[in-house]
This record gives sequence, C-alpha cells and structure tokens, in this order.
Amino acid sequence: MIDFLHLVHSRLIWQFDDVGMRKIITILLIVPTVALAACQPPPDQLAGSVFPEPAPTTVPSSETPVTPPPTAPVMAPATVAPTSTTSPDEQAGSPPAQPESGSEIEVDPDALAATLEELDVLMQEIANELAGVSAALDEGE
Amino acid sequence: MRRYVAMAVVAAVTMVSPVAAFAQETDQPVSDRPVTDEATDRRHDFDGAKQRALAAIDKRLEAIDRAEEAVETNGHLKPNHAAQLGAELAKHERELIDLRSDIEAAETWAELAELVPLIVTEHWVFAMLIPKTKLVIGADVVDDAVDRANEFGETLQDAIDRLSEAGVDMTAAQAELDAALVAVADADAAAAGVPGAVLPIGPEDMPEAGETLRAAKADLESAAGSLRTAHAHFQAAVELIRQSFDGLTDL
Repeated sequence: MIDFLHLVHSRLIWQFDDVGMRKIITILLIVPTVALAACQPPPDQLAGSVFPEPAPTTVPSSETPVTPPPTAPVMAPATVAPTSTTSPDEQAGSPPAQPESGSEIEVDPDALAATLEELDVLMQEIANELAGVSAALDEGE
Repeated sequence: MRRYVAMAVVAAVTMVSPVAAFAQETDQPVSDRPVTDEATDRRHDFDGAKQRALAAIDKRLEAIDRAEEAVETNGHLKPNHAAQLGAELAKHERELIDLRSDIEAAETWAELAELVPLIVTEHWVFAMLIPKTKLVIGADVVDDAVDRANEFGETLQDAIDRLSEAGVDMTAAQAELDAALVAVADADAAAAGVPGAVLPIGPEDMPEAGETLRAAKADLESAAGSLRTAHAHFQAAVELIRQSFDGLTDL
C-alpha cells in the first residue's frame, strides 16, 4: 500500500511545475502514508521499501524521488539532495539506507555569497584596527 | 627605535624647554612674585605651558575612552584579552587623571618640569597603549574570521562533494577551495602570536618595545592579506559552484 501511495505520489508530483502544488500533493499523500507506516514493522524489516526514515527537520521523506537517478536529483530550486549511498539494486532488494543525520546538504549559491559578505565585514574590521594602529603611531607622543 | 627616541625628544623639548628655562630663574611660587610686566609675561607663559600639558593629557584621556569603548563593545575580543586590556586602560586613565590634578595644582616651573614628562614616559598612550589594544582586537577578529572561513570551507567542501557525486566536474572549484584554505591557515599562523607578543608590553619597556609593536602590526597586515587572498579564492569557488549548479538545474 505504501508502495502504491508512493507510486501515485511520484507520478503525480512531476505533473506539476508549480512547487506549491507539489507540496500540496505531498501533504495530501503523506498523511495516509504515515498512518500506514505506523502499522508496519520497523524499517529494517521492510525489505524493498523505498521509504527512508525521515530525517529530522528536513523535507518530508515522501518528497524523496522514488527511483534514485544516476545523478543527484534536483529536488527544488537551489537544493541538491544527497546521492544515495546504496545502489538501485540494493535499494530494491534490501532494507533502505538510513540517511545520516543532517546529511541533506543544501547547495544555495546565494547563501554562500552571503557568507562571503560576512567575511568581508570581518576583513573590514581588521583593516579598521590596522588603520587605528597606524593613526596612533603617526600621532606620536 | 629611532623614531620613538626622536618622538620622545621632540615631546620633551616642546613641553619641557620653557619649563626648564624658567625653573632656573626661580623656584618661588609664581603667585608670590611681584606683579610687573615681566612677571605677567612669565605668568602668562606658565599658564600657557600648563594648559598645553593639560590639553595633552585630555587628548590621551579621550583616546583611552575610545579604546575602552572598543574593548567593551567588540564582540570578537576574547574575554581574557578584554579583561587585561580593560584593566590596563583603566589604570592609565586613573593615573592620567591624577597627573592632571597635580599639574593643575602646580605653582612653580620646577614642579611643572617634573610632572609634564610623566605624561609620556609613564603611559606611552599613542606609541604603546592604543596600538597594543588595537593589535589585540585585530588579532582576535582574525581568529574569528579564520574560524568562520574554515566553517565556510566545510560548507563549500560539502557542496563540491555533492555536485561531484552528481557527476559534475568540480576540479576547478576544489582547487580554488584548497587554495583558500591554505591562505586561511597562513592568516591564522600570522596573527596567532600577536596577543602574546604585545600584551605583556608596559611603559617600562618603551621605547624599545616599539619594534615589537611594529613587528606585530606587520604580522597582522600579513594575516589581513592572507584573508583577502582566501576571500578571492572562496569567491571563485562559489562562482564555479553556482555555474555548476545552474547547469544541473537546467537539465
């Protein structure tokens, strides 16, 4: 049943270009999925399941693409999901890999640029202190 | 070294020479001397010398005030450095305020001749105290910048690894990141010794310790240069990551 819901989700979600609609589809499907998952044995007994354990504070696991593509899947603009550590064959026939805590890395070039600006500010502070040293020495006693 | 000796000589000549000249003539309180034109002139010179000395102290007290504010408000300064600098600045401030009172109360050229040189020799505010404070603050800012840059390096490394795993050639970005991290390490090494070198310097070490302060300033300038280099490499890496990412999302 979970597989079915996941299949429905995976088929439906790519029909919408709009990210908001994708989220709505995801939310509508995640409720029965979670309910069903609660009735299932622990994940390590779920051979062949394509649902990884949801990582805390990350996007819902139901947004994870069903079939791991050969390259890192683009989940949403400015976000690259981690590539799976297991091969598609392993995922099909063995327990799902447990994502490492915090292993989902966002690649946000704008955030990277913002951090560079923080470094800029620190460098400016250093330059100011150096200018202060020079000014004091130039002042003389 | 020569620079400090020259500064001290100029300061001494400027502030003390009129004092010494008149001190030879009389040790009597100025107010006790007969009121003649010459005495009025001398009184005028005496008051002028006193005012110049007081102004010199006020200028130093203002500089100390600004340094104290910087120590209190700078978020990068390590607590032990802040405590040591704060205590030292407060001590010099107290002593200069006392010296100011003594100079205000001085009645003779001889007293003035004794007190005025202490403005420089007991404090070295501009040649030692302020540079030392700013060098320690600067070194602590470098320390924070190095930490931040290393964290940023880890973020970039993760991004590069992810994109590499996705099949994107990230060789150039990796090279930029490696170069940035080398420059960050250089900055760290250059600034690390600055606080330890300048914090122990006191007025008794001047003017010889001026060389140590200049060397510390050169180290800090080197650290700043390395951080600028690191920044340029980080920027190039981010740009390459952005291009790779844009290419990936266009697929």
